[in-house]
Amino acid sequence: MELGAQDYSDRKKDISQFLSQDIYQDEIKAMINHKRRRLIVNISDLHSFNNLAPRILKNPGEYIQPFCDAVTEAARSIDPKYLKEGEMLHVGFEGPFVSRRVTPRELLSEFIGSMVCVVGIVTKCSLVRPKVVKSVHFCPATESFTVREYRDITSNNGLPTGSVYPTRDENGNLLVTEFGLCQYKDHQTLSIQEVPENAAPGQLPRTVDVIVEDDLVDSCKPGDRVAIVGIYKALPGKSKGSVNGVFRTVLIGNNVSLLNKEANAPIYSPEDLKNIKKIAERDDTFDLLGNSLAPSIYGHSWIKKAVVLLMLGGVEKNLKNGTHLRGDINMMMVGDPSVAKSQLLRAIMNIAPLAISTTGRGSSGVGLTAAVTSDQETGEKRLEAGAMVLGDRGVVCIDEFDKMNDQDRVAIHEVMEQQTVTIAKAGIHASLNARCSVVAAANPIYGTYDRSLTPTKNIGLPDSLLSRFDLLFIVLDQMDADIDRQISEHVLRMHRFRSAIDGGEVALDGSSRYGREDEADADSSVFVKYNRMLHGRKAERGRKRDTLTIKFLKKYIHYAKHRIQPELTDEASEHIATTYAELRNASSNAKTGGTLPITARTLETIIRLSTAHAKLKLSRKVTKIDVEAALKVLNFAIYHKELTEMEEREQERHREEARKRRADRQGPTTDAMEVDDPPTAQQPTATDSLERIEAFKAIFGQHMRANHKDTISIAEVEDVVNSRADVRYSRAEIISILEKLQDDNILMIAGDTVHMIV
Amino acid sequence: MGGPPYDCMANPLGAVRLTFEKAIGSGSLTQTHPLAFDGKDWGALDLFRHFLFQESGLSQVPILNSKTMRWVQPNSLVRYRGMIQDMLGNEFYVGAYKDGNLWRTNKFMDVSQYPMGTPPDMCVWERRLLYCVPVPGQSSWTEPSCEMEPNRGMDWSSQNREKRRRMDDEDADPLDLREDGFPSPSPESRDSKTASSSSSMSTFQYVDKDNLPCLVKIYDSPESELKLNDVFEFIGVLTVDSELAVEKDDNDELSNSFYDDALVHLPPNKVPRLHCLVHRKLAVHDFLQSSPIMEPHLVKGIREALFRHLTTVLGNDEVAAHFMLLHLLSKVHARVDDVAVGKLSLNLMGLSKESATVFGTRLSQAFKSLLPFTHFIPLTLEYLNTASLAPKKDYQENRLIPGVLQLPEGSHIMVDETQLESGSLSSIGIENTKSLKNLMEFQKVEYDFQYYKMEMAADVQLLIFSEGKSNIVPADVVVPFQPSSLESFEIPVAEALEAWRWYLATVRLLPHSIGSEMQKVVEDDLVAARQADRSLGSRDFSRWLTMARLVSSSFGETCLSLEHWQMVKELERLRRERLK
Repeated sequence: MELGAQDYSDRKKDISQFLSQDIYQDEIKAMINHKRRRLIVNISDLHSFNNLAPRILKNPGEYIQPFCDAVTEAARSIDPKYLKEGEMLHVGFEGPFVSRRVTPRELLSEFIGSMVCVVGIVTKCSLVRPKVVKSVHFCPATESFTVREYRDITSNNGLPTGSVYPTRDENGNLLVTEFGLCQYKDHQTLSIQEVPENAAPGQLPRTVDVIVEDDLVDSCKPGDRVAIVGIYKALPGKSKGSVNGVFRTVLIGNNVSLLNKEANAPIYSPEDLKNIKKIAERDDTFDLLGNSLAPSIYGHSWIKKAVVLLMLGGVEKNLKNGTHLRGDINMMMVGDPSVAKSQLLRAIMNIAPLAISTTGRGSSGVGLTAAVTSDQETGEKRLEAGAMVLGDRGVVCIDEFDKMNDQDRVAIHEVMEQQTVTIAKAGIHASLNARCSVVAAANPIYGTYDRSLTPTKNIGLPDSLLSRFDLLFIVLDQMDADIDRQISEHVLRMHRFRSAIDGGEVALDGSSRYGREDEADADSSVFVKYNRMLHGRKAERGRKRDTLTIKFLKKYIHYAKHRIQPELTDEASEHIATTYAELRNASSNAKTGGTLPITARTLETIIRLSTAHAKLKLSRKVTKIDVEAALKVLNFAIYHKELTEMEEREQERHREEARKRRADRQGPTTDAMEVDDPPTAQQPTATDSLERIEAFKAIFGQHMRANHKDTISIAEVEDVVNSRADVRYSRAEIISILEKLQDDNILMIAGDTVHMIV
Repeated sequence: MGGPPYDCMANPLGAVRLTFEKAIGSGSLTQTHPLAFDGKDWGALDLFRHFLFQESGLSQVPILNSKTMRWVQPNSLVRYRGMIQDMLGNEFYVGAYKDGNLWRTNKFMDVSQYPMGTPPDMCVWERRLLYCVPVPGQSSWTEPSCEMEPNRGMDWSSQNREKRRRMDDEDADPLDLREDGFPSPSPESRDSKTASSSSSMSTFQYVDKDNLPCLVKIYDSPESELKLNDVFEFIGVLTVDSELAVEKDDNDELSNSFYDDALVHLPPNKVPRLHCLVHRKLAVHDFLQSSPIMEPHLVKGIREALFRHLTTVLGNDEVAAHFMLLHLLSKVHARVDDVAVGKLSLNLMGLSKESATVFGTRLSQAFKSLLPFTHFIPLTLEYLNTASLAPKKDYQENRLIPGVLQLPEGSHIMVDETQLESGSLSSIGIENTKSLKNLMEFQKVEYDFQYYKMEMAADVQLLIFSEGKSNIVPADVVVPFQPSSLESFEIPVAEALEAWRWYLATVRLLPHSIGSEMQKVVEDDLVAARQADRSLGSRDFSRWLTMARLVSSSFGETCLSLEHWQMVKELERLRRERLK
């Protein structure tokens, strides 16, 4: 074992050197300040130091113990009082694991004995149990102490010992265990399972067992998505007698990190961000997104667009006086049976990050909001959240809204406007958040829509409830042979599509391994692959028939919804005010009336819709164009009329020309659609500021590219920029420019450092 | 010895060993390190494939089921037909190890006979564990008709010679020893041996006599080949080690806290292990005894006969029989977005509780003799509130608890809604109706993984009996059922049944296309129909096109003709007339 000791001290020397770098001295100090017991080391730092990383990753068993020792020593030298005698610190690892970042399915025999990072969902956590590390026994007969140490598979040094507890010493004298002197550590086992998104088609998810100890216990709970870094070890089969040669494997965790705490948040790649921006810059973003939503449903383009706006939502405001102005958009569809209302709801379910669906018939008001229940055995009262509370910050889809009884409908009045659920029952008084968008679908009161009656009569719901819906669509079967033809064409294509793949399927199965490659492709692809059989002639009537993939659409919506919080511009507010006045007038004059009563709530609706449209274009300002787009949707909802395609195109062209003219006159900056150039409204300084920004961007970008950096401190930016600029940039100016760039998602400012995003 | 020095049937492991030794070149000085194989096959599989398919050894291999289990020898070659019900993940095992200077393999075995060395002299490979069960609802005709006798035409002497050659090798195996105790292959000794081995097999205490699950260990095959709910035939080495079972009791304290090993709940004395050498996916054709050649006039003849049979079963209701035939031929051909194209579920309405029972039994008898996998769900309140339709993951045992709707492709379910009375559904009941509806509409079943649901595509034909139109499980086609007579139908002769089975299995796989002229006609018809009746939607169009495909397939044609399209329209007209 001489050699082993030599190796050991060599390794420890290496690691001590590594830890003596400034960053890690600081890290250790921070760890002591936070009273933590584990030092998290970044793998990429190890890569740049003496090539330690590959050695540690391949042979963690030989390195972990010296690492722990080195960290403990370093900590002692910084603060001798931090650790008591015999206490040890731990190390954990993080950073880019690249090919070692695996799912439980990919964890194969080649990884045994090495360090990996496993990503999955926690499905089971055992109780935290103490595990004896050292036991001390006293023998009354000889008055001497016996000490015994225990090691098992999780320990890094030495072979596992047995777990037999001594009760007698060699001479057969009885031993008394001194529990106070024994050492224990916490021990917990977890199981993590492949995340559903990664599951291969036709396969069940795999699981892997994980052991965590000491400070890592209870760091996650069942249902969490985690990435666990650890050593993958094989336990010999537990058979005695004959050797069965089968191993159980277990991951000994050294670092547990929770992945996106937010439910179902997608992970954006730089590629995605680029694509998202590209889509936002297109002129037809709104149409494109609308079309991509449930492409299998033909027509109803306005409703689809409204759904897109609904999923984006407006901006919620909480005033100082406690007033809560909701940002969520509520929507209702009323219409003839079999006009794909339920299918639309299903499409929303598929795309919205959080969506809960229920039917009016299947749920009571209590089931939608919240209920107090009492435990039958203990008599304890409990609050149980209903669909709308569970759907907080999401979408609640209610099908067959008309089938709900009146009492239950009243229960959701409060939720829809105030977005809270208050419960005062059986000694419990509580107010729960239910900030959700409601999408309801209902059939008209007489089964089918009676055109001779007013919309309100057909819907048969009280105004108090209707006014809570921002948008109400009357979905009618359109009497149009052309549309009929398109529907039948669509269905035919669907049926012919299958015959096309009937033959091709075999080759497809054989060539690619359950299409992993395809899936990887699909991860980043933006548009649905064009298939002539399925989508028909591409340039049908000169219209683009691009559709976005569901994955990308989800990412886009999530990005726009959460990253962008636009503000109203004066121009837009003015426009809203005038339009509102017009609408009010029109509703009081016209006897026929629209679907929705025009109230102050309508005003809010316009604001919400315009804000949502601004979000859609990833713009920070709500402009007149956004308001116009919102009004179109609203007009369609209120008067259930749709501009014919011809008219629409005509208008589009006019607007395009007008925009061009305007653009020519005022330069490109007024166009709020262009996100890359900040609008002039934001430019308080000199007229040449634009050029200065461009110059700044050029110098800055060049510097970052040249040095392959993705982080830089602001002071450094100042030095770099001013060393090359003609006119000096002040610190304040630099910061304001950086902030603008941050708004454009080019970089991110964190304290004094700047991170490049793309 | 003229033949090969091993017997693939009785001693497959010997064959594996021989090929292994050949592959690493044992005996010669330059041994290939088994690491080079990387767990992959070294030629043993080719040998077995050759034996099974070229030398037609397949039919000699006994099929493992609860009956044959009594006499099949451990460590011999068997085949098992079943559905993959659960996947238990990977198992790591010592694939090759050094015994002295000799590399030995442990592949296709549970227990090694020799002490194993330490890591440098040991290769760890992985194999996949699949938990298979007999296909739920399997009809009796799919089971092999001729029960093979234990007295197979086996070359016992050569086997024994082989045995002796490796006698000293084999002394670790008690079962082999016993075999060697009967050197003469006389019938009496065979009998007594069978008796003795069957007594040794009495460790097998199956809960269900007809339901023999099997734990299949898969080596060297891409994951994508074996999917959940697929029906497969696995040919491999059967191992039964009662020894292993006992040890599961003394878990040490560490492993205690893990997931209970899934295997603990499947002790080898209840669930046999099969080390799979060759596997193949089974289609309905593999269950048939013969397969006639596809000929147009033959197909039409069979169609006519089958149609007459269905008409009699359905009490002379020809329209219903037409739809029934199409329904039996339906199959999911493609999935476009959420739509499963090609399914055609059928709702026979207008049945009372009594008539549903009468026709239910008649139909279920007929289906049992025609289709490979059939099920019957009595839709009562109690059933809905108690049954578990969707499979569920049990994280305590780390197993997938099967549900009624965990079915292989091509299963048929008959739902009797007439027995449903008004009452309240519990949350389980609501879940169950949702599952049924989901299956009906999207041909998908949501598996409950507690933290999330996982959608699995299914391909199941659904037939519903109801008094009025069923709203709980809305079918594609609703046909008011009007039987006119209740004459008993004669049981068709075996040849006819065989032909019908073949017909149903073959015709539904036919490709289909719509010519461009026909497409024009169809399109015009659809538009005209919608102009005439606004209530028609894309769903109805889709149904018509599905029916068109099925009608044309049922005549053995691959291209839609005008005649068949007219037939679809006529059928639809008749149906709508009845609905009025």
